[in-house]
Amino acid sequence: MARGLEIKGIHFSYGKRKILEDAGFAVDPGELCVLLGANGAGKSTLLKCINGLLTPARGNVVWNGRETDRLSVKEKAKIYGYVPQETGVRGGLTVMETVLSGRLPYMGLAARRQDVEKAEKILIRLGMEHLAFCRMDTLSGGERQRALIGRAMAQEPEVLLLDEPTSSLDLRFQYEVMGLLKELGTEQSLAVVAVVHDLNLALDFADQAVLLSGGRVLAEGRPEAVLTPERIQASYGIPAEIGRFGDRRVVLPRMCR
Amino acid sequence: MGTLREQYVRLSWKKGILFGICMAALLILAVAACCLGVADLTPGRLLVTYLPGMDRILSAGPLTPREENILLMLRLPRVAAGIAAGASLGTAGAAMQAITGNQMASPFTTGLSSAAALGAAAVIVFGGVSAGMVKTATVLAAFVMAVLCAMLVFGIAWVKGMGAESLVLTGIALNYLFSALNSTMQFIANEDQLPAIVHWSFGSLNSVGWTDICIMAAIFLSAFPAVFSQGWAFNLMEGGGDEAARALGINTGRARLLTGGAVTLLTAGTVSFTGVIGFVGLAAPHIARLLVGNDYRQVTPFSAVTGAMLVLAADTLGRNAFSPTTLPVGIVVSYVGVPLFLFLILKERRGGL
Repeated sequence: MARGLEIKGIHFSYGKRKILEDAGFAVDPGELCVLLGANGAGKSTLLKCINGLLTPARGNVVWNGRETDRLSVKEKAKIYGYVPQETGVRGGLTVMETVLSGRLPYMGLAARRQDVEKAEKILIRLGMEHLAFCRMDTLSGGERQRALIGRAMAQEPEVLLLDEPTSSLDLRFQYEVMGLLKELGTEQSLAVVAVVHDLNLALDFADQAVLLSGGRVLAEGRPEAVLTPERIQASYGIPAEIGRFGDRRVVLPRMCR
Repeated sequence: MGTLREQYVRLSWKKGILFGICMAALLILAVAACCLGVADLTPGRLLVTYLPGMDRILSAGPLTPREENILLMLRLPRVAAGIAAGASLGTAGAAMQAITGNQMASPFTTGLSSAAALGAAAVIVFGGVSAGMVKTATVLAAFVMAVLCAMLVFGIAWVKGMGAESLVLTGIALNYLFSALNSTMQFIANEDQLPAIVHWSFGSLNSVGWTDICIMAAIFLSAFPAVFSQGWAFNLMEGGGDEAARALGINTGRARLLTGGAVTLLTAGTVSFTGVIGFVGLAAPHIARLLVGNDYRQVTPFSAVTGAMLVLAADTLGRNAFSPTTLPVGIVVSYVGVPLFLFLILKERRGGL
């Protein structure tokens, strides 16, 4: 049986506007995969087609040899943990209540002892014990993002999907969150798929990169192999060079003045 | 301090105890409402009449048959109706705010109250029913119109994918439509009918009898569990939108429809008996949030209790402030509720446990 996540031939359109055409890629358990591409390339759409938030016109999603498209919402919620864009969070649940709500696929209205204990463990793992009973809307963007990741961890997923987890964070939190994702993936052998805008974060952390352009997969593989000046020009429309600092690589966009 | 789990459990206990306190306060308010009024009933005399052996402890005399009649046929039904109406509207308000993700939503956001008023006005203007049946016909017409309006709103929203925005916008539009129809009724009504229409829209507990109360209670007892069970769905739909909820295994369309049905029954079942009692549905959930925080697993029951307290307090005040004139509860509830609401906003300490 094939292990890992396999996305095959996804087609999706909003009305007549085609967003994804025959998009597909594969991720192994324990790997961190980033979805790259310009605004409107179809990254978030592809992410949402994986756990069924959007229903693709064609194509299918396979996890460990099993097609998950036809599973119920609840069954999917046990496989796919989802972290939405942090900017969409409103309201005044506490961090504890937020993380606890990740247990929803497994529990009823009342949280059982083991649910609260799991939430507690996650909050400790994220270093957020002191914030447990603070309201979400009093936290900083980075803390809120970590709490949402905590909620997805409480789902005990096998695949973790994140929509732009770093885009509203400052430099330090960007590196913290990406480091956290990398660790979680390895620790719990999760397949992690994250939409990321910063190509340098991708180069520093990702095991695998999928570069989308105009709804198609332009390239897939190790990030340093995927991100060439030609492909950056083709998908983002800006000339760039790849620099090297020791064994680290950096993308240096050429300034357009 | 202790572990996070211990803190969570302790917090849950505190919320439970606070709920007990609120229920006790509601009970005290209910006893007070029974005693306040022209006839001289006191808690002591109630105890002596209904608890055997109390006459040896208390010196108060038992109720006369006439006073007992006042209690059972006038005071108690009013108190029960106030509690049922307030609890229903409070619950419906919390549910509406949750499924629309809008803090300004109320049970009347879907235009239910205007539709019910139109139903009542139609019976008053066009009549066609015998004098003895007018009350029943008014209640029925109001209920049917309210349910029709809700079906229209939820039907249109369903076609548009059952999102929060389409629900609110359709509701507001239909609200205007039914208000216009209502105004048309008032325009064509003669001078005997017009006061009757206007009076109905004040909202009062005057004509609510035991049969009506049984119906209201039955609706509340069946709809409340349905709303209460959606606690987590509400938390997620309000806190992060439908995507977050669906990613956690909640069928948001079904949750909205189920809740919409419950809200419709609760609201239509109340206003068709009492007329329009506004503000409770908006304010009760906010008061509940100020007391216990934003988790709908607690907000829903607290909204029911605070709604009941609000209507009961307002009706008792309306009965006694300008006695023997009784002000309709639909008017007084804003006089009582708005200052309280503003006070709570000013000293906001959300979830101050």
